[in-house]
Amino acid sequence: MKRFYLSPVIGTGVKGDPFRAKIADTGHSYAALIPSKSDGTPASSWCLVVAGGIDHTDLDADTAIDKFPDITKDATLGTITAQERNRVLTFLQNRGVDTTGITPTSTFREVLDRVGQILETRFSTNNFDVADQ
Amino acid sequence: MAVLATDDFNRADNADVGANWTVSTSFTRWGIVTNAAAPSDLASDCAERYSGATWPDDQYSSAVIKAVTGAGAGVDRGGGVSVRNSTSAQTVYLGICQVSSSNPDCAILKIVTGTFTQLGSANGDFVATDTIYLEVQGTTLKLRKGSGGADLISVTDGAIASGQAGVGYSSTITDFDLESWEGGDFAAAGTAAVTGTAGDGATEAEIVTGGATIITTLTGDTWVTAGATFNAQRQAIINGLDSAGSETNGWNNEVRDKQGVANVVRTSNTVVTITLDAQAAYDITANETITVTVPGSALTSGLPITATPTFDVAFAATYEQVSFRFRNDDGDLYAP
Repeated sequence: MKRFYLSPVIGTGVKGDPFRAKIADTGHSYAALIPSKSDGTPASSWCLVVAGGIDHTDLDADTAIDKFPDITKDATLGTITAQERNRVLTFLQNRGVDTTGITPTSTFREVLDRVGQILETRFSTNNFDVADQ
Repeated sequence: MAVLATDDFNRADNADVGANWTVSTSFTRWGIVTNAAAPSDLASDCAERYSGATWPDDQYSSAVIKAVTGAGAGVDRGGGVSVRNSTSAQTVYLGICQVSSSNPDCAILKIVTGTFTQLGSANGDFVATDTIYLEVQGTTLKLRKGSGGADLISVTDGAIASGQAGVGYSSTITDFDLESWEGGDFAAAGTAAVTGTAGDGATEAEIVTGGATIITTLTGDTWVTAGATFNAQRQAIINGLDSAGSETNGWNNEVRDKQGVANVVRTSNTVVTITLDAQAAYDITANETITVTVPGSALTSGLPITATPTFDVAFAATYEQVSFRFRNDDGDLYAP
């Protein structure tokens, strides 16, 4: 089961402690969008993550990690409760994401692309994945 | 996809990988051990870039693992391949693997001027004889087990725009080496069209007389540089003119194997004209179909091309006039 998260970037960038998503230390397979400045340091203190694994309760329990709803990328935000939708909009706004135009008819893919393109303008959810093992 | 460089590492043990390889900036070298490439020091970060080819920005690097042993004490340890190695800084993308039963065992690392970032990790379960494959197209990186395998990790990153493909190792695991390596790009393969007075189809007599032409025109590729470089490939070009037949006095023995290199002319960057020598002994009993295969050594891409279409040499039957005279029962000649 794959789920999407916003995770803090941790590490110091040295060998043995690379910059990485906090989720990297949980044992989940994952891919993270971590753009760098010219000196190699992260351009943002947080990153977009897709994580695999059967059990995500450890990630759900981590208050530093924001959880996107567990819906398919082509599902609309109208398929989740208003309370859940507001939770998502709130954590996006707290990360500085402009949520203007995100409505119940917006697809989850559109939301992920908007978040990813804040970090890297050439981001596409279509090229962001990890083997779910 | 087109292969731009390969290395099977099948040579004598050496502290250096070889002439086409350059140690990546601020990394330790790889060497040759028992016909495989191995990090020279398993306790150091080792990377080499293949500097014997010209690399486009979009490139892939893949290698067959000869041995991978041990789990690294960290999330950024293992051996594998690299893309976009900088020629002047410790800047590169690495696709690496290790052995771990409890945690993800392969990863994509980004190193920018010596600063490490892990872009993802997954469970690849890599073992000896598996192929580890890393590609970058635009800002998309993909790590796979084999070029045709499913994506283990697919991620966007725009930090490193160009560089060379190669091999890489991030210390420390117990053992790691590679038995073959390949790097390439995603350009469409070139094509070759056959025309000419022979290339459009010839008769047996035309081949005997000589002077017919086979013109090979390339699209999406070019002939190697005119002069000595091209001249050295003329015999290989002739060797690529193959008949499907096997007659003793047929094309392969009398034309392909006797054609001189002087009449193989590089007309332009994309056109070569072969004017066939006269071959008096050419004598066939059935049509022959000729296929033109352009050798990779004659092309800038280094990739062989089977040209189209094939062409035929038409068998020309010879007739001997036989006269008959008939007599009737009385022995008189029959006069019609």
